[in-house]
Amino acid sequence: MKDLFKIAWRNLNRIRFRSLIAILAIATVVAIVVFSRGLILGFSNNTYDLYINNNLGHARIIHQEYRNREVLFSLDYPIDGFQGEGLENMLIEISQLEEVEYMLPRLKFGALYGGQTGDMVRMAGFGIDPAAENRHGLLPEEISSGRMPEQKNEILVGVGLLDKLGAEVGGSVTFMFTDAYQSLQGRSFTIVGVRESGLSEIDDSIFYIPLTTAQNMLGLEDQATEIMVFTSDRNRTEDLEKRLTALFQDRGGTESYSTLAWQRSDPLLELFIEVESIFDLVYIAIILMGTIAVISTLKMIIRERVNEIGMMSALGLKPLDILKIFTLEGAMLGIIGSALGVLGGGLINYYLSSAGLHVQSYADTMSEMDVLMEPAFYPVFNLENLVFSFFLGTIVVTLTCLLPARSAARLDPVTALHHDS
Amino acid sequence: MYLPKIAARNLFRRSGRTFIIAGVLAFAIFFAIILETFMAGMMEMSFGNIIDFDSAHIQVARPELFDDNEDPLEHIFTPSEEMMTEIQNLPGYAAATPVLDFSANILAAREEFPVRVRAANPDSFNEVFRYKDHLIEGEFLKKGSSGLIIGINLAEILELEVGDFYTLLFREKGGSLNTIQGEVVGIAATPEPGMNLGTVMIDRSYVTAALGADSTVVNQLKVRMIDRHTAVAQSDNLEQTLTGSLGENAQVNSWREVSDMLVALEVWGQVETYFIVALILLVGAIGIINVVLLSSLERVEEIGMMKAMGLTEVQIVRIFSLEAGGLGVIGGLIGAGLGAAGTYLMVNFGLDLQMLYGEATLEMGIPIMGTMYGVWKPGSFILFFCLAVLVALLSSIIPAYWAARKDPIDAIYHR
Amino acid sequence: MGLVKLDSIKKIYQDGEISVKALRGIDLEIEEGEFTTVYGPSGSGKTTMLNLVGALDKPSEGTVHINGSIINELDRKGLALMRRDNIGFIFQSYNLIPVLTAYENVEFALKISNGNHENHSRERSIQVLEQVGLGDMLDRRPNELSGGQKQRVAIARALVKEPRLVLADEPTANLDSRTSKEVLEIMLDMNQKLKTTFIFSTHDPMVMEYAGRLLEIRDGRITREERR
Repeated sequence: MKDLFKIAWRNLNRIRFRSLIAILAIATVVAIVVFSRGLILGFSNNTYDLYINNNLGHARIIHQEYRNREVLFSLDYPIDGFQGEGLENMLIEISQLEEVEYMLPRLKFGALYGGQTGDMVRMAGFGIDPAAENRHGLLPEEISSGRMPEQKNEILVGVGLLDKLGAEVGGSVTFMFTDAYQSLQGRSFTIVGVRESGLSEIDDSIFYIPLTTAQNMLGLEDQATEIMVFTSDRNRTEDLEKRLTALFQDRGGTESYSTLAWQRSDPLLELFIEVESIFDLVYIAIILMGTIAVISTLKMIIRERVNEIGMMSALGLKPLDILKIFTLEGAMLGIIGSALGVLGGGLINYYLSSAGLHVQSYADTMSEMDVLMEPAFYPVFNLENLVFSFFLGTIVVTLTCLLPARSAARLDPVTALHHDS
Repeated sequence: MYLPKIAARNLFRRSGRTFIIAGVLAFAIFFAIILETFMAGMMEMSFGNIIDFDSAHIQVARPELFDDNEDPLEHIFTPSEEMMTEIQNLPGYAAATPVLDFSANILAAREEFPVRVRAANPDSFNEVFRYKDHLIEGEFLKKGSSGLIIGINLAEILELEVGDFYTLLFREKGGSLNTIQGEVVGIAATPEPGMNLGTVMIDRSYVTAALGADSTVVNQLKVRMIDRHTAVAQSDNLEQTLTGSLGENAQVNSWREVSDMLVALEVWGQVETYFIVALILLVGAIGIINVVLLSSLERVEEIGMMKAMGLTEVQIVRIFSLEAGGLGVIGGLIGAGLGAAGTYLMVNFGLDLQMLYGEATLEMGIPIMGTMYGVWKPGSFILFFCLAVLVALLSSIIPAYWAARKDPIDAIYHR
Repeated sequence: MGLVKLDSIKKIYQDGEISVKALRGIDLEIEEGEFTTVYGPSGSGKTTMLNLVGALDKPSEGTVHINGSIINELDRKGLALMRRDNIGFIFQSYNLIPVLTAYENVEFALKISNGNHENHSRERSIQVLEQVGLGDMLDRRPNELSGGQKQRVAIARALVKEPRLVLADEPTANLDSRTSKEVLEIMLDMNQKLKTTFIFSTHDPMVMEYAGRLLEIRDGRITREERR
């Protein structure tokens, strides 16, 4: 085997420029795979995380009837615990489940602002648990000025909404809302903080108040409209779901409540997850395009060496050995090319993972769409991607090299020896 | 004459290699053409839906209306006779209808939902829009009646049916709250998802009466033209006439200006296509370098002889570049052919978007539903064909020079 | 001055650490119309000298004059044009262009130079091919021709543009003696009719019999000269 390796290596060195181009071809396609995979991973990770952290949790508990009325901010189907025992008890019970890391209960409601100018601003109010959000949530990190609302009439406002209200931190704002008993109410709050997520979908219409205040003013004591439940990793959602379902069956919650895993909560995410699985085929196709250069190079090497092959088989080298020599040559090109490609693609991803890939038209599109997506691409730079791409490149190249290598191994020694090159 | 002949014949000497590399180029072109026709089809359909159900071809309003979508009632006006005459005299004019849009909350049963109310003239409205064909239940608006038409999605979430009562709660121009109440008379399902949830329609004369306003007030005039493409230019002309000689405080927008999202999406689609095509062509370019290199290595002695015969390096480079250019042409033709076949299928049979995307386009707010049809884009055939040939020519130059610069003695004796 | 003049020529090849002195000082003048044979064992430097005379290479020392130009002073393009306009080559391995027919190989040589036969290149090419006895094989590709036929196409190619000088490096090495003779007869015939200058390299004694002037090269020097 060592000798075969030596022969293969020397042959590749015979005409270096030729080998180099084949390597370059593989390096390019592998780099494209590293880059596009990093891009897709980055994009889906970012998007999944945005949805998970802002809307969905890893799993979300809501009342079964609530789902279709979510856009209405209906208050008719809140979560009031198992058998009506209250939210607090339910949270305690859920927190004792094995997979549960933390929970963010939310009470969502619609509100209207009618300021002095006569403008009418529609808003979404989120009652949040300040302690839980402070410990685990995304909110505190995205406060651009001020602080979290801790008590009573303190309010945190999205930066775009603040602008619409014409208010500022420290100022006060009064808005109207309908409580759970359908009566129109008004209430004033002091703005203590501003949230700037960078996503207009969030910043332009949402404000946050302490959960207790929301429960109080809406007449929903010890209740919430949803509970976002988080486990350690979004890939463990299935386990989390099982635990939750078991608990619900135990405590008689299956009839009124449902658990929605993040993957099944949003048609857009469902589409992304589906498309992601197709992409593995696309990566293989990309690498196959690069193997064309390796194959044609290998074929030419074989053509040049028909006499030599005849000689080798006359000397007693078995067809399998000949197959090995040429496959090995292709594999070497594949290994070197893949290594270089991983290096190049890795460098690109490493740079872009922090700098970001900014495309104006994409940012414009995203700001106009009703979706939670970053306005720029941040490819993921991780070892898994590099290792995956390296092996994908090496394996695909080696496998395709079997074809020309097999035709070399099948050469008849007599005709090969008398081949007139 | 001989250089192209030699190049062409050499191309077919290793026809397997030639066709594989040409295949990569063909793939790039095919992909680009299909993506372009797909994007164009999506745009055609999206803009078409917006035109047919929301914006019409041309809309005339106070400039402030377009900047401020919170309080349309602030920006009402009464169209003058001269204005109407100007609009009717536009070349390619088909129909016009006034609308009065405002924001309200619709209250039904125990729920409340923010909507845009579009108060329309029942008769002329259907000359401009295609709403009437898409009523799935009930009937269209009647002059002077409080009947409301709602979209199918709104009907679902509010559990409303024809005959149910509704209340619209809104703020008047002065700031005081007002309500309109009545019955739901129709439910519409349009291919414009935005209209199915967020917009309700009511008779305009009923609303102006309820507001105690003059029956002539509107906040937009919607104009339908015979052809979508003339509308863009005509809207600029109209704006100049209205603001110029008539001295009106008016702004005229064409359908192109209505959806920033679609315009941005169109540009993004193009950027995306070019980027992917550039990557495939990059791989193709390396493939071509490889081919030219291999064939120059196979033909070292031949090159040597040509040099001995006195061919200059430029002439030898030309032989290889022509060969690569030929590759580009073959790839380009195959790609364009496949692209034409694909476009033909998309134009004539269309593509079911729901099958492709599920509910996701609705989620994103792109106004497309149902079957989308492709669009012939001759420009992209020419562009991408030329691009393939150009890439092939350019990427052949370096290996061709490498071959042409070989020492003639080394080449002849194949050292 | 003669058609070719070599003035104290030295040629040294550098191959890594080793330098090989291929030519160690050659003075030679060749007149128009001469039929010269250079012979010597392989490695003696005859091919190197032919390459210099053919403007394929430049000397390490000394000057090479061809047709009044000093080739030391020419750049690569100048050398190419010098070869194109003044010199025809015939090689041991024929070096025909495989994708062109016999006729096309000959006409190609004519077309790349802006010679005298621009307007009747077809007639001229056929005429030369007939002169070498291939009038009935115009449309054959090189792989459909025998060795002797290929070499005759190569001769026709070298002669078609009526160069002042034809260089033939071991033109008969791959041919049997009967075919070699035919090929040499053709060249001699051309030399006599057209006064084309021929320079051969060979180590075949039969070829030497045809020479009007005989040069022996050993170890990079001319060791014997003979005129007949």
